[in-house]
Amino acid sequence: MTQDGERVAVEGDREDRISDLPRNVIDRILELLPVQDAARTSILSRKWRYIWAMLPSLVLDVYLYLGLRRKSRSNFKEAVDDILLMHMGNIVKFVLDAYVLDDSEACFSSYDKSAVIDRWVLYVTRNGVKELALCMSDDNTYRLPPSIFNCLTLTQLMLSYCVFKPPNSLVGFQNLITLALSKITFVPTTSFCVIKAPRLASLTLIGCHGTQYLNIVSPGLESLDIYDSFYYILLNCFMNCKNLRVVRVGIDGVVSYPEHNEKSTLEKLLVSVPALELLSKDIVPNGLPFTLNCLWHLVLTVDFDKLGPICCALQLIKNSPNLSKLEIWVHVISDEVEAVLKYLDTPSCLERTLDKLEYVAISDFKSSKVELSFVKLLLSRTPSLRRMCIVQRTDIDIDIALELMRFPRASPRAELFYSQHKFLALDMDV
Amino acid sequence: MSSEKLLTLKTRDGEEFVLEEAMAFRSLTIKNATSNYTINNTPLPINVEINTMIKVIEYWKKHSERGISEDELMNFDKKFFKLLHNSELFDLVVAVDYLADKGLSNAACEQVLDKITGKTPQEIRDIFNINNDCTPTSLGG
Repeated sequence: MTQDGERVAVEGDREDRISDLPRNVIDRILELLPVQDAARTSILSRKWRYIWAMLPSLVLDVYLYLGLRRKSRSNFKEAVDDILLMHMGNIVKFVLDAYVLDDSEACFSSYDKSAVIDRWVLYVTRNGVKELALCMSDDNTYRLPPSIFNCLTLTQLMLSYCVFKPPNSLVGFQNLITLALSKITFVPTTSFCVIKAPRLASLTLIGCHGTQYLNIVSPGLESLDIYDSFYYILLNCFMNCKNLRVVRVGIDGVVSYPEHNEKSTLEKLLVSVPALELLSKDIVPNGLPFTLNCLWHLVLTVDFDKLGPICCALQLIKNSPNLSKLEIWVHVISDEVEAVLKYLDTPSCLERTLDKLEYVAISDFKSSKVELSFVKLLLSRTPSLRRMCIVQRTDIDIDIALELMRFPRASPRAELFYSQHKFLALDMDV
Repeated sequence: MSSEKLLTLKTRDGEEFVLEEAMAFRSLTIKNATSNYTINNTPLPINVEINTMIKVIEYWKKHSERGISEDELMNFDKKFFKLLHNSELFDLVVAVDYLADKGLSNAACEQVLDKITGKTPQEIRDIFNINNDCTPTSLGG
């Protein structure tokens, strides 16, 4: 090589090294390419035809659709048909943004569209698909075909905007490890349908309707995320999950269905889970009469304008004797807060000290009186505190900073950080 | 005073060299191999040639430097890969795949990717010396 790094032709450069790379390496490289570019490698040579045809991962997404529309006349449906028809061997990963069919040049009736997608899904489920992601159009009319429910090879399933009605003889999901359902509508089945997912470790439900009809048995569940559910969720089905470590629940509105006699099922869930390590909630449960011994990391979104949420937050904190990391997101504040301020001033609101609490973060801080009072309270009751981080979106206020610094601290080692953060992505690296 | 553990490795073409364990463990393959048997200073054989291994170590060393900025790393990566002939790049890709170092593996594959993206098939054939043995009729199938 010359001094300024120019390359000199080397004997090895005249060989075709790329076609002889290990198959998994070539697959990795092709999978990084957009599908239309990867498809074009099929005409490089005979060997490459098979390399492309046997590519185990097919991502047929909106970018493919846009690329096709831009460059050629071919439409999405034809392209997918061609790709699947010419494919050989197993399809390990299949991602389909089926909603682009809405926009397609060929005018589909809703029935035709469903039939087309059903055929594609059937094909991949018959060819050993392990990771399947389907995103349908938001009119939410697509009914999931039986082939999905009966697919034994699935390990990861991600679905958006579908109607979920499992057949009575559901055999699939036996190997499912990750299930993520977004904007899904669950429909009641004629007979009581229990979905058995013995290997399921992670379940996510976002903005789903009809969750009261979901009945899933997943004893090995480790992580549960539920957001924006439009109805209550039968959390009973998670009561027996002994491995549940992470629970993130953000529910807009009602958690306990008023017509049921039982208290919020969420609270019952909290009691029954023996190894709860992270609890994140958007609303705070009322009156916990029990202790959460395993809870060490708690994330709460709290309204600082009303007495209720503050009481509940403190109750939850009080009942978690091993709590070591606390993150509070300030949601709503107000000026009319006499009652709350008075409450925070009374010693009974937090009588005992929080001995294990070491890290506290207050995010989206708005510098209201209640928040300051809350911070003062925490600082005075945390003898093991190592760090308190207060983060806000706006520029920091020197007067507030001084006031925060003056609060007496129970822990001599406690450090106080007060900063502005544009994205409020709090990194509590310890 | 350096108290890091050292590891002796032996390449496919018989060269032995010594590396800090922490750096060598960027390779999952090496890490798993050492946990499988007790080392009493017998060199661990690895299926990589010395010339390629030198490049790998150069990359690892740079990426292990303390206090180095993202920009400096990016510049280093750019220069590092620019100096490689295609055949050296492929040696590296195969070696790193074997060594199982995800970071370097991704970086190397992306280099190959860059050479393919946006090129016509004939251009790709020219860059990589691929022999076009497709007959006109077989193209359709």
